[in-house]
Amino acid sequence: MKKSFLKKLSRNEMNDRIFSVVGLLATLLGVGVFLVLLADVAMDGLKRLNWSFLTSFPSRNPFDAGILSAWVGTVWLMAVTGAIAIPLGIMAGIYLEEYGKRNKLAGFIEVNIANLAGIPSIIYGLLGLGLFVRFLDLGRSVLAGGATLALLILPIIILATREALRAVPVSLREASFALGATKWQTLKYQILPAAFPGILTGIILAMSRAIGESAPLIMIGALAYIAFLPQQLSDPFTALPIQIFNWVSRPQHEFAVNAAAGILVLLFITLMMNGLAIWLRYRFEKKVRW
Amino acid sequence: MQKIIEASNLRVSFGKTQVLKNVSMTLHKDKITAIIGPSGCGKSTFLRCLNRMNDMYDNFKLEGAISFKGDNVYAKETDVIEMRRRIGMVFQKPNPFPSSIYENVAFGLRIQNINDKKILDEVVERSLKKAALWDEVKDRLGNSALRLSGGQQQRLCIARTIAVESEVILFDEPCSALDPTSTRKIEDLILELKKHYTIIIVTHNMHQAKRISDFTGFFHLGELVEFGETKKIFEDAKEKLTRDYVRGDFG
Ligand SMILES: Nc1ncnc2c1ncn2[C@@H]1O[C@H](COP(=O)(O)OP(=O)(O)O)[C@@H](O)[C@H]1O
Ligand SMILES: [Mg+2]
Repeated sequence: MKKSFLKKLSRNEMNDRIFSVVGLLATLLGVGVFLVLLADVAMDGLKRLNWSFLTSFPSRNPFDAGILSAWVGTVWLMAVTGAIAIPLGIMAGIYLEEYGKRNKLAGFIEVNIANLAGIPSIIYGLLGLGLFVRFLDLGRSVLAGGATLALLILPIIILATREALRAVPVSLREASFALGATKWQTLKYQILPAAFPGILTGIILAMSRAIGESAPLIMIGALAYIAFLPQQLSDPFTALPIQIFNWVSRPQHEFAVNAAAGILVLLFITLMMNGLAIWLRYRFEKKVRW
Repeated sequence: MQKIIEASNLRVSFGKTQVLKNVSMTLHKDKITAIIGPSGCGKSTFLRCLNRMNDMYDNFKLEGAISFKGDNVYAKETDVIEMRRRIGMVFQKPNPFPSSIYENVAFGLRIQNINDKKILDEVVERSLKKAALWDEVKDRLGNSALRLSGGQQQRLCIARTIAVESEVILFDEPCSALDPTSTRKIEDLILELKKHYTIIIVTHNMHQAKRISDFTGFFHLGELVEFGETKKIFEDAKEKLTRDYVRGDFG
């Protein structure tokens, strides 16, 4: 009796060990591939990364070409995307989590939002092309591009908001209600502040997803060669991923170097955003403990 | 003896599960009523019916009536917000807001749009004194309430309730997460509060019920088996079930 018990335990321990080794290998593989890619890009791109690269318009001459219109376009896009997706996403998340009745329709909406978050981004490009560019006649503008990316990240923000709201302990709600707070007061003064770091993290991750998207922008016809900066929402635009995509597809090696430098800039921005999200989460988790 | 809350023929269910079966109880003003019974018998559910905290649950259903000072608590025209202010609640696990000690006590006033610093200062001090916490925290009112000990947090929750001038305070096993010293402090505090507040306390602790309460109700499987003066329930109960339970034979 005792013997078989011991045997079983050691077998479990064995499984534990195997799993941790396999897990470690998988992790190393992922990180390793990323590092090799990064090193490769860095070796090509670093030497091209200088001030004039950041402040020049694209050009036929690879040594003159820069990413000014691309990164300014990306900033415009992110501003439009954020301005649309953040308030809509948060409000929809709050509504669905706090006010929506738990019925069949709610269940249907819930499943669909989860599914929307998993749809390939090129489909959103098609939708943007049909809805914003053609039907609403916004053209290939910053507004159309930003609205398309907003659609893309809306489900992510809605889900993140709901998750953050759900993570707030019921006891906090009860404390507030028991003092005679209304539902709205409870939400505004207790639940939302407690959920804020989670919502913010979700927003940053969603935005960092949007910033790297090229397919939907290509789909709605964003241009690669733009020798001016957008002045208003109806102006055409380019963006970093588009510019990179364009350079990569040129035959000359010098453009590939430009692309590598552009990728470094994009990677830097994305990593900074993710880092910010992690830092915020860490900071608030330390500050607020239940 | 004046009655303040009266529950008659309460039947409560969550979805298809019936949790309370035909419970009737009269609660007296400025007395302590203890509610005892094994886990899952509906004590918390009963308590939460009194200030409509169960309204939070979509599948909550109540039949029968509860009146507070003669007004029907579950009437359509009842101002639930005002009613919850007058019937406060302290929970099993201390649940201070993740803000300062001061703001924890002030919150109940702020949501009534009382923001005058002088009034708030006064109420915060008075409430913390009444909750026997003032001396321990008066030098650090701006500190996070989450850094207080469990017992202090629980007294802060009591202070918070006192601050909105509740008349009734419902306690749901307020000491079950506390050490014996903190428990004793809360018990003494409850005895002190009895002078001005009606108190209803759910407890697992027979000694606690015996020591502090004037009346005791014994619940079993969603029914109020017996209700009466604490002395009577503990020494000379009518029902065999009650006698067995208070002797510690089950539960
Ligand atoms: N919100 C709810 N939804 C469904 N069932 C519930 C809910 N609250 C309580 N119950 C059920 O009601 C019964 C009584 O619970 P409760 O009043 O918490 O018991 P006690 O406080 O006496 O331990 C339990 O069986 C519990 O599972
Ligand atoms: Mg309980």
